[in-house]
Amino acid sequence: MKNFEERYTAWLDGEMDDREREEFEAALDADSHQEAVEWQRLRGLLREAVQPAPMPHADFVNSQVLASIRREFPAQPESRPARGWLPVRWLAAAGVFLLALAAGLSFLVLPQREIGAPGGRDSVALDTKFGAVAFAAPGGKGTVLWVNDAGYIPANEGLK
Amino acid sequence: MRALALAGLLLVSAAFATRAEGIWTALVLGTNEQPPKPTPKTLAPYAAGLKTVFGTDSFYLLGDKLETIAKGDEEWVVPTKRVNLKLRCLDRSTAAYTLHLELYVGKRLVLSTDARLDKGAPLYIRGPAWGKGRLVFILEVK
Amino acid sequence: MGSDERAEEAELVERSRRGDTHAFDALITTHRERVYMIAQHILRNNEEALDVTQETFLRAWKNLARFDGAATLGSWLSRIATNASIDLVRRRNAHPQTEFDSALMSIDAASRTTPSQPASPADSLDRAEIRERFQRALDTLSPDHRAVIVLKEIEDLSYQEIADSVGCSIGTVMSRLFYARKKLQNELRDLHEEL
Repeated sequence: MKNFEERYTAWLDGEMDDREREEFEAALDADSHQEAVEWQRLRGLLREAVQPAPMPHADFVNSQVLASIRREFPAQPESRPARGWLPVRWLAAAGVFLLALAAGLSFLVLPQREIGAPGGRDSVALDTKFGAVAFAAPGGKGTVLWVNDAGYIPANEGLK
Repeated sequence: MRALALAGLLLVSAAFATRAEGIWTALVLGTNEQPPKPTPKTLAPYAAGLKTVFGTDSFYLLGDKLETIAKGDEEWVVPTKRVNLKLRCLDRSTAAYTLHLELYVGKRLVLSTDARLDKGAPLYIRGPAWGKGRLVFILEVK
Repeated sequence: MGSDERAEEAELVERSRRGDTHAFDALITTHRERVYMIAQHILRNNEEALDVTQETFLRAWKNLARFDGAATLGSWLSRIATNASIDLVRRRNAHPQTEFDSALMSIDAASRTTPSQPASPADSLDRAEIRERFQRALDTLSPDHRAVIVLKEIEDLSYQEIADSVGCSIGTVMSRLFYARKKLQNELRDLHEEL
């Protein structure tokens, strides 16, 4: 710590040892002592007063970041450590069987949904050339197109 | 003959009736204010979603309109000097529009995409920041 | 963070480097609140803070190869977030923000409703007003000074952690704290006298 500002900061934050502190305080004038007292008081109020708003819908951050990564780095290999004791081959075979079963059943049991059928709640982005990530709106109703670089217009510039 | 004409008229009317209605488009400004401004009635169905996604609690409806757009037609959503969203109708079916969207900020194209707009499922498009607020376009088939 | 947690985080970082987005997802979940808080403190705008939060993790993904573990992952992310926030404030200040001019658009100006003059000593101050005064005082600081004040006084980081986050020496952190505190004290002198 070389200059007065650094030493004063260390003193205010209680970062000096006893010897340094005594020497420093002896050299300080009364006004500086008074200011330090004031600061300690303001510091307490500052911490109380300046609390950030909670992060809105935090999971959106994850989905948006990961969507951007997948879009910008589509060739990224996703390596996951092998878990479990069943051989991968058996798992794959079981998966294919189940998929085939589901496909067969869906034709028999589930109604076919055509694009634009009444009651559809998708509203999807089909072919985004560039510029945005799409994700479901809250409540599963609708879609958000998050334009990545939508830019900024200063407040003192009118739109019209 | 009259019966045939009437039948034909009914069929045509039915065809139009089952077509998608119009597209409602709106330009909204979202801000954070103390205290939050009351939400305009038109935006009430969207306020919760806007707040969750964009983190703003006060909303201003800068402009909106509801109109049908025929296949191949183009439309500009609440056109302004600084930000413009262009729609082109690629297809219409029952309760849905397929659109090509282009968003311009000034002369800069910041978004180009096709989108299917289903009835009951609004599309929110994040526009540029304006001062301390955020411009958002909302599109919905109504 | 205990040693088990550190080891687990190190494994997640390693897997993320190999392209495992599921591992990176877990890292985002662990650190997103802290990153958001830092951005929110500096930017004072929820939506910009969300933008910076996303940008921070995107940059982190792109630069994971450069993270050598000398600082903690949290500090490294804080640094990215702080720099991104300060950059944004500087860009924003290059286009001065004024209150919305209602004549420019047929809407009410998005103006603050609290008084711009300090309250007179005779007025009693409620919590909301105190908060507003502090936030306005923070607004008067430069982005660099606001960053160190926020990281020290609110996030309670050490000088070293702040230096790692902001990308400067400890001496510079301490000098900036000195001047930032002096400025805040001047801005809030009448508040202190009233309380």
